Amino acid sequence: MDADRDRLATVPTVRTGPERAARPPAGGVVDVGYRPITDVNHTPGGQDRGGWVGTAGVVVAAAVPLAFLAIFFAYPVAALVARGFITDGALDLGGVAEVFSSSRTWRIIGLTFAQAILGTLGAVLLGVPGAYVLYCRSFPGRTLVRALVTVPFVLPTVVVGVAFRSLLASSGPLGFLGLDGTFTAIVLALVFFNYAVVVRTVGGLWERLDPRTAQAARALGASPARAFLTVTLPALGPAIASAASVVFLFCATAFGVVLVLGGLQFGTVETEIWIQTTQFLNLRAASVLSVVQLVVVVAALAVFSRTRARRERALTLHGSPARTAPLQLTRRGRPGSDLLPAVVTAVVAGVLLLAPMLTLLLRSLRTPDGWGLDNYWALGSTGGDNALTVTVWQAAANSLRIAVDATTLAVLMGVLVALVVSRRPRSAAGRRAVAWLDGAVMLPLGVSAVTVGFGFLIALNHPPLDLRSSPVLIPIAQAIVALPLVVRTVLPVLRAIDPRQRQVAAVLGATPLRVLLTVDGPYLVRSLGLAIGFAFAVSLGEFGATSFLSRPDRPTLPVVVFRLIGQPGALNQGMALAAAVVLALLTATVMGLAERLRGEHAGEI
Amino acid sequence: MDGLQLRGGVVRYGSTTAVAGVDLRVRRGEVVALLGPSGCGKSSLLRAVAGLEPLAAGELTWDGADMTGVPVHRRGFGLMFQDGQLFPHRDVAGNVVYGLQMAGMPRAAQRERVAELLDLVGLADYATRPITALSGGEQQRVALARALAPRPRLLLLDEPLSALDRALREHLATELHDILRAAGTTALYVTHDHDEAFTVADRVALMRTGQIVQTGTPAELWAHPVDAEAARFLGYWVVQEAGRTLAISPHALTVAPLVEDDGAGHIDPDSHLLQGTVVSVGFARGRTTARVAIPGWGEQTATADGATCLDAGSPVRVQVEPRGVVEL
Repeated sequence: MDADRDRLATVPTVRTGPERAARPPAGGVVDVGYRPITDVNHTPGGQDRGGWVGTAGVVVAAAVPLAFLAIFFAYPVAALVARGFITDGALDLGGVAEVFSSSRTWRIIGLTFAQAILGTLGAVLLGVPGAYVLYCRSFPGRTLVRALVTVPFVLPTVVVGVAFRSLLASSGPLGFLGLDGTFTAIVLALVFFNYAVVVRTVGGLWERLDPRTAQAARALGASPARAFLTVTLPALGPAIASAASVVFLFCATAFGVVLVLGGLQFGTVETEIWIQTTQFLNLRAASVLSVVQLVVVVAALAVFSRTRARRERALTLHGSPARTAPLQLTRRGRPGSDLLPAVVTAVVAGVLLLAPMLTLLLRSLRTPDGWGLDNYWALGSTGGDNALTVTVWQAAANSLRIAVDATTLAVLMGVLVALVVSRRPRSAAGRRAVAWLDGAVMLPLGVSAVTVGFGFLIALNHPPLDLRSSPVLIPIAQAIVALPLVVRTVLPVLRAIDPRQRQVAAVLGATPLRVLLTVDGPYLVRSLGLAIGFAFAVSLGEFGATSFLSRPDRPTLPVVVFRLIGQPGALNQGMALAAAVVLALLTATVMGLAERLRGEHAGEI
Repeated sequence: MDGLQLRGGVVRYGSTTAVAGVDLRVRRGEVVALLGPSGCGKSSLLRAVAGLEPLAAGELTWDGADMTGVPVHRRGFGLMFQDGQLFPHRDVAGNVVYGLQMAGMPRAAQRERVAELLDLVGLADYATRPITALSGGEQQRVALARALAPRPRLLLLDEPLSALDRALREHLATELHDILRAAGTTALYVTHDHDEAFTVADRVALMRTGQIVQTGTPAELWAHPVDAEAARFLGYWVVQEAGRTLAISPHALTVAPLVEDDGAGHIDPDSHLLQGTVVSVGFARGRTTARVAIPGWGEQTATADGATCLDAGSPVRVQVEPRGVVEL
């Protein structure tokens, strides 16, 4: 799974800033799970009032995205499994045996788990104090620090890889640590990515925990530390477990950042699929590894959904965290209880988060003869020794064009799916069908972007579907990657519509179609801005699938960045940094706009 | 000086002063209610006594010993919130036993004490139930048992019944009165409901805009409200009559059809008769009530004689029960 999309997927789970006023009602028992609260009421427009016309509309709306998924997701995945396990029409486990008898495979699987476990541990251990400081305490500049923490979310993986390399390279500001090209560097970059996932998931719950529960424990004789361990931590437990499983999934499927930082020495199953495909041209081994990756991801998702179910325990929450206490660093001249988390958070924000981003920016302005914009001027060229086939600006234009196509596709399909899935048909069979569709469109979220790209590569390059040279191939792949995100953004908004609004409209004589246009429509439009922004940002930064499908004459910006850092020469390295900054600014701008367009009912993923 | 003593207590949140110099005493074994409208600072005062808010000024002692710098968990004061704040990850017994575990009580004694308290609050069979399976009233009983379990020297109750519906509230207020006496608890009870305060407490401190305006037994408060606003808050109807301020209790007025020749003037000091006009007719708690407009006094609800038939707009004779009138 390409981490770009998935990190974006967690962005809207928790909201920051003043808009938080639109939170669940005060003092209520609130479902804190990831899934939106669904109504149990039936809505018209399914099978009751609209008769067969309405039903037919729903079926058509469901059939289009299902057909899209069948052709561009199920078929490539099936082709991939077939490639790994079937030779000449018969089951052949030779490929499996070959892959699993190689010590390289076991080393890669071991490395995948090791970096995922360490990355998760780091993100949780640093993120919990961060959640406390940034969400339960107030201090001047808190909004700024919260924004800073969020930025790594929206950076494409390739950019992060380049940023960490520029920070840790022997000539970089932290070069003396000797971490360049080490396993530690990969783990640090993974923590950089996922710190905010923990901070926002845990912090969002923590600030809404009623502080009086802990105060009740204090009044019963518990010291502050004991009250935290016996009352607050158990209440946060499900949120921490849920954040940890998401982070684990991201780390286990990290691709771009590992490819950039790990070189050929360190890798994950994802990078190994890429290397087997592009370096060793061993498609059978790559197919087997893709299946291994599928198993790992599905297992992680299963654990994830179990912790999510546990999260849905009723907690006493209060709606608006109106009065957060100021940060108390000292208490009567001695170190206060807030000192340790505050120091940890300051170090994380300053060193782990800010330093790579600043270094990337500063070093992109560095030229052999002092400071200047030379690297940016060079983006109009094809690099030293013609490292590229197109200029970086042309690649950026490619990226934008592809993003427009991918976004259009993803939003179109996503809205159709959301409209169908938000219905509550009266018949049990209809409800089962809706639940089934809901699950089907979420499947790509659980399958890595690398698998999607690789599946396209082996399935769509020969009849009946030969799209190898078609310009729609990459947009379609990126749309598959972005589709679950669009659905998860739009769906909660549609589900939040009180079903009685639709019932009132129907009673007043509106046909199912009019109900859709006049009741659902306005809500849909408001959530569309955010969905478009997400899909666009995902597409811009997408590297996992694109790296398999990109053609030399039409590369995208992330592909160009990756290519440049692999080339020798100061000019190419400088251009890589400048291009990474451009890419980061593009995605950050799109995400910033999308966040501003976020409606009152924020979509949660 | 036994019990709680607060002198000149001040609580501030930033620039707003929630409690502006309050003196309060709670003797051992006594239940004192802090009664006041929402926003008057009574909860802030309670939180300051618990140690959850710092006192910006003033002196807080227990049995003469200064409590100002003592952290919450060392004060030995119990606290019960409006919505219980039960620990959702523990069952009923797990909640009740929490304070005993903090005190390091031996396990056998813990079990015994938990059983004793669940018995006291009438939930003897509920020990292993999850919190989510309890009704609102049951949750508050568990919260009370949990607060009482470590035998706090002072129990602080912050609107413990306000989240419940009226019938349950009235029932539990009586029960709370009995449980607190049975446990011999010293308690400070915050509420905005005067009926609740009068039911539960030995003494009531009436609070307004950060200050205590009157303290006394329920009977004293009822008999002599300190001013018009206090009287209104306790449920009196306050009117001006011939330069005097009268507080008329809710059930002091009865109406009957006007008899033409009884010659009732505006007010008859001897017969306590007035003339009014019916505005609307209602029915409450088994009795017909009438909203009557009395010239110079305004509108008020009065009880109608069961047999009388009243229409809106008809003139009526209003009888004032002399014992229901307090001159301020």
